[in-house]
Amino acid sequence: MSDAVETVALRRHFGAFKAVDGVDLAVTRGEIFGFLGPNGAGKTTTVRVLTTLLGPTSGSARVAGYDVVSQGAAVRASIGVALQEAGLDGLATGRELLRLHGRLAGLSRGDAPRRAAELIELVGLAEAADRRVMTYSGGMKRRLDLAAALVHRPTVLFLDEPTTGLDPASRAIIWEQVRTLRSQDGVTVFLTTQYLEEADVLADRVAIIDRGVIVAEGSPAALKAKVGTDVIRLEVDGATAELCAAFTSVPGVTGAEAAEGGVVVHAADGGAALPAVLGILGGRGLAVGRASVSSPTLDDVFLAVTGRPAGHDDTDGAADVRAPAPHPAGGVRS
Amino acid sequence: MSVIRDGSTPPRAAGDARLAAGLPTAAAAFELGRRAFRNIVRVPIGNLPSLIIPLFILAVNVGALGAIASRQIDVGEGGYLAFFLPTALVLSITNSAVSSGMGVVRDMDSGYFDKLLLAPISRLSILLGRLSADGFRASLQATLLLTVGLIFGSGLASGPLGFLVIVAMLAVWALAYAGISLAIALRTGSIDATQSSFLIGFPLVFLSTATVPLELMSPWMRAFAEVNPVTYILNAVRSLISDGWDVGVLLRGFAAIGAVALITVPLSLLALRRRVAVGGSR
Ligand SMILES: Nc1ncnc2c1ncn2[C@@H]1O[C@H](COP(=O)(O)OP(=O)(O)OP(=O)(O)O)[C@@H](O)[C@H]1O
Ligand SMILES: [Mg+2]
Repeated sequence: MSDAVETVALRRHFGAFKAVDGVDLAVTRGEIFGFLGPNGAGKTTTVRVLTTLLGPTSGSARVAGYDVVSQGAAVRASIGVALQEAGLDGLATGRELLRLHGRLAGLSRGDAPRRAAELIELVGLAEAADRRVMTYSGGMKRRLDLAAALVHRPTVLFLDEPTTGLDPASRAIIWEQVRTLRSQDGVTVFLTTQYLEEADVLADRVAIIDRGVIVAEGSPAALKAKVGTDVIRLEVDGATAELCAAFTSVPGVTGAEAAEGGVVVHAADGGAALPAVLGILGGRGLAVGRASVSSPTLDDVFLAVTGRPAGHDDTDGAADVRAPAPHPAGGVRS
Repeated sequence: MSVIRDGSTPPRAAGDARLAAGLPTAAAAFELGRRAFRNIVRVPIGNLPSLIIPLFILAVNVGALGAIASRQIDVGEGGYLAFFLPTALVLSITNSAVSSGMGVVRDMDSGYFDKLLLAPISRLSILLGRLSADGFRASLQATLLLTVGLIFGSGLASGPLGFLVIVAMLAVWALAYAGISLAIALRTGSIDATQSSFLIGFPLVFLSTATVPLELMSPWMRAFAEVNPVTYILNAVRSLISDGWDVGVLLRGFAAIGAVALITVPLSLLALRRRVAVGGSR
């Protein structure tokens, strides 16, 4: 069977500006694919081309086996799309909106309301379902948008920054949905994000796009390994070289050094190594003031592969450093 | 629209067997029309200006000019009210046709237009849905204004069937004329530009037989009024109200609407096609 998404030398220019400039992607069926990049990298433009909302300047793209240019209708029948800015009808209620899109997708007059009710339950909008969409919070709109994208049971789902601006609870709901869709329905998920952490917890494979060009591709672990390792910071008195050497005996730990007020331990997977590291301290009767695990961020990977920090605005090549991406997984990862 | 109807039939084996068969064009247009009309009803204040302004002009004109005008114009039994009522009707319908484009441009603004473009339906049904809601709204509007005119004694020479023909004619006019605001909306994606299509309506309505018959006009105005489709729509509605059934005048009225549609329908279809090629609401 063909790949779920397949692009060859895909380009989309706006006048002289090269928003997407020769992208080759292959997303296999049933995969959760993370498409990472800073602001203005070309993520949304790529998604709009793949979903037939925008024509490519050159190159080709197939989605669910259909060509996005010559078989647009078949592509649209196969995909579900939640765009970066949830496009909803503010005057409709959530239920009305889902019913309408069920009807448009070909559900019968009887089935459309049933499917709407099912989806409302699925995304946890039961209380708000009969309120007008304009009264919804940002997170509720995102969830409704996701539900609308699922109405016709698509085989390939495009989610453009589905969790940006969401609180951890709403983010967790979206993550949960994405995982369930893949595991229960075998849906392929093409998900854009600015956060490596998000791709890390969700995606099987990741591609990083910058200024319209793919700069790195691989599994999240492989990408992080490219940049370096997780860092465990321990606040502890009396860190010695001997102690540091003891840490390196823990499987997965690649190095340790004494630092200001404690020790810094490098490990491929900081969360997995943490118990053993703490065990060594405990065995020596050393009290830990504070322990934290941090992973390489998109900025670190980005810096490593491009040699410059991720910029806010790429149109003039300005490379102003962004604030660090939030860590949705929290300090100590499980 | 299903894959087949879109003319881009995929080789099934190459893609998914499990394709959502979208709703056929007519049914999709019906659902979208229902949604568009529901939104019109949910912002009732949005419909007030196109009802109140014509009623106001009607009242002022009949009150202030009725006595003078009746001496100059052969207004028949219904008086100046019967002469001016068609003007109020056409003005109301023409002005509110702007809202067809406004509906589309608002959807583009909110991004909902993209969602409609992504639905497995024909793109044509998006336009047809919008138009059916506006046609329905225009019929209600015409019914209301005509009823007010009747209450105040304009009379209706053609009887109940004439009532229906007037409403139908104005609804068809609303659809033909809405093509202008739809084309501007789709072409520009701008609320301001779409709203300014309002400006086309005023000269069109008033440089016609809206206030006086052709015989009383200055030569330049008469020259314009004679090629203005609104003149023929007004004549047709007026004949139904004041004189009864004059098939020739009616046919000319519908022909004038057809001529306008011949320009506006291709314009809006071209604009839709271009919008889709340029990429949704961007
Ligand atoms: N219609 C357009 N006309 C001109 N330039 C455009 C257009 N659409 C996008 N661009 C430009 O293309 C570049 C890529 O935009 P895109 O929206 O794909 O970025 P993105 O990766 O989705 O960014 P973000 O994380 O901010 O959503 C930007 O510099 C943007 O200004
Ligand atoms: Mg984007």
